[in-house]
Amino acid sequence: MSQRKILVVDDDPDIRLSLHVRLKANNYDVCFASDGVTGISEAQKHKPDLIILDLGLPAGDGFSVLDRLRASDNLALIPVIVLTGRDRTASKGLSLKAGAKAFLQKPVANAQLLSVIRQVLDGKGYAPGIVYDLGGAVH
Amino acid sequence: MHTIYKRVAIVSGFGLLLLLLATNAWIIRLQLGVLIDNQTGVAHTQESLSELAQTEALLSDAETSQRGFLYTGDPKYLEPFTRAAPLVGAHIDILARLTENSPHQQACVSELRGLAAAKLHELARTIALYQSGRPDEAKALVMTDHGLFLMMDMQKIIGQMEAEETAMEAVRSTAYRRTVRVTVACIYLASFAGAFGAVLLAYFTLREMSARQALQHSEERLVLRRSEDKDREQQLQIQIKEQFLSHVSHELRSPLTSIYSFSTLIVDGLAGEVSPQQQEYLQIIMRNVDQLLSMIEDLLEDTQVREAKLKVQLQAASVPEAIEYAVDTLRGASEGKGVVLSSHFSPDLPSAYADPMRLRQILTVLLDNAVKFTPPGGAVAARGSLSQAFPGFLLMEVSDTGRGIDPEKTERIFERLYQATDPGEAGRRGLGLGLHIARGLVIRQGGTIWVSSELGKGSRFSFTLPILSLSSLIRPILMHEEKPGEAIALLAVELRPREGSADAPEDIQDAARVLITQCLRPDTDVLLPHLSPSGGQAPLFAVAYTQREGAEVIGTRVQSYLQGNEQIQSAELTVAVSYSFLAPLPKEVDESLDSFVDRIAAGVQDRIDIICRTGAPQYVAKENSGCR
Repeated sequence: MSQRKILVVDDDPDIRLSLHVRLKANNYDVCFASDGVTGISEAQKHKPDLIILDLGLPAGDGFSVLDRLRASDNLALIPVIVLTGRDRTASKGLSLKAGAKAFLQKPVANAQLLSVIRQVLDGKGYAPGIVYDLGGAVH
Repeated sequence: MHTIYKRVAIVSGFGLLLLLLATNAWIIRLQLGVLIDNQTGVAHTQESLSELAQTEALLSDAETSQRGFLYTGDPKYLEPFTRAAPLVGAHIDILARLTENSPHQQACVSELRGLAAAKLHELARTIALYQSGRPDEAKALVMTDHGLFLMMDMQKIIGQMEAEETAMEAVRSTAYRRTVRVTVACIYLASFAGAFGAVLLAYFTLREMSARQALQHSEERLVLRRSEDKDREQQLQIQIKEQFLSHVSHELRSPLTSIYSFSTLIVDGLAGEVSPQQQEYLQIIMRNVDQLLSMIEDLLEDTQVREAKLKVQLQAASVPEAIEYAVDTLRGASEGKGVVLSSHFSPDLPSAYADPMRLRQILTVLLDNAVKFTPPGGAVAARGSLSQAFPGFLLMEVSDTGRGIDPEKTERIFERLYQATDPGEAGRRGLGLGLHIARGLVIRQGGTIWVSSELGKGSRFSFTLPILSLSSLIRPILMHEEKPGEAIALLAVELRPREGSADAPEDIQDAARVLITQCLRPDTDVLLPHLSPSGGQAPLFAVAYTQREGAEVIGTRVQSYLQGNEQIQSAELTVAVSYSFLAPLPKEVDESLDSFVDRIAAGVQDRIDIICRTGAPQYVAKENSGCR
């Protein structure tokens, strides 16, 4: 079975590195972008199966990335998981409204992150608009 | 200072106006005096002229009478003479009196008197001569023309006097006309000046008054604005604080995320083999990350508690559901620690009158706390039951088999930032905000929270929340004022969607609740929450302890408030308000408040059941006619 490709868009190199190691270890092919514009161009280039997106980004924040993905013909169907350190009361609804499949708050438990990724990739149970409020519960 | 000058100006304006009017009145009075004098003078002249004419006529009558007698000898001709002779003197006396102010006229009058006397004497002599049988002598005397000259002299004097009097009359009437003109002019002037002055003064007075009013208003506005500014400033400060906290929370999360992520990478062996000791130390790191995270959460919550901004939406809240939720949340943590977590409740527990989200939150805090302080192998239990000690309340308990709390400290454990000393095996346990937040939430929902503990054996945290019951909801309005004989009105408000369209969305229901609450009086009316958790589309009910007219007023207000609401209008909802009165239920003299409340509540419940069961069409038909 070919590896599923995940694009991580985050401006924090530490996050990119840790996700890189974590996702590789779980047999995912990972590519990266550190800002919104690169995020879109990397998505065009790699056609990932899933995008993990931070909200606070230089050159177009996560919402603008979501908007541009939705507006694009060939990228609109790529599922997006928002993974952010932002306050979830303010950002969760907006993210889901903008088309994200799930909202996770940093730091997220590895098991939860991987489980959400698996489910989103399988397209099971993750209808748009459902809130996956897993942030802030690391045990 | 400026205002004082203005006031002085206005007062002196009024003074001047009064002075002007008084002066005018005085001038008019003077003029009227002159007028009266003038008129007297004119009348005087006319009288004099008439007297002169009469005197002349009398003398001429007397002469004619004498001639007639001398000519005919018939004594009947003498009658005018005998009548005129004494009258002439009287008329001349009047003339003398009328002209007493003019020496020249006086001289004329006395000359006239002499001439008249001489004439009368001449006439009398001729008549006497004739009567004594000497007609020739009489005729001769007449022929001397002495009488004729006398008559001519008299006529000359009379003419002279008449001319003078006429001249005087002309002067007087000119003066009279002038006086009249001056008086009229004075009246006009005074009227205009008075009216103008009055208008001017009124204008300035009003302007000054409105200026003062405006000043007062602006002062009031200033005070208002200051308080508004203060409010806004406070709001701003709160906002800034919130932004700051949100920012801090975000900024703290980022490094924490890295610490967590890389630690887990090492723990999971993705960075090479990990020795057991490293593994243990890494667990310590992880635990601390966990703690830091919950501290950040608490920090945000606590600000809201202190600012009483915790939103609490009281409604039917299921205790079993909340317990299940909290237990599920903590299951991972307790299993990881080897603590047995259990829940106990009877499934038919009545609903609490609370915010379901907040109820979960309280239970989660207490369970989290209990799990933290319970050593591996211990047990934590969550219970829900009816409170025996507090009738009408539900009792929630979270007990553990931890090391317990020093009895002296049980009182302080809910204090903000309180830290049980002795950071024992649980390690540092956060900012000490969790229990403080829980207490705030319990109190906000009308309950109490306490802890009982025995050192070494464990603790039990308990809190109560009111049972959702009609009795507890309407009790306050019945307690407020006991006025026997007043009616209990049940208002039912229904938002009916157009046929075929969806039910009224929940946010509109919420908006309607707010509007209805605005129509109710806080002491005597109460809007009931949904009495069952699934009561979405049932009518909204309110109970009013009121007179019949009172219920009508509330009903009309609710109807117009709701109909005027844009949200309801745009959703094309029909507003149907009805109210019905419960049969008069006066409180019996020896009846306890409790049984009175229960009796009313039962009546209200019956009515609600009937309305809900009867269904919409009948119900609407009834209230379309207004009310019952």
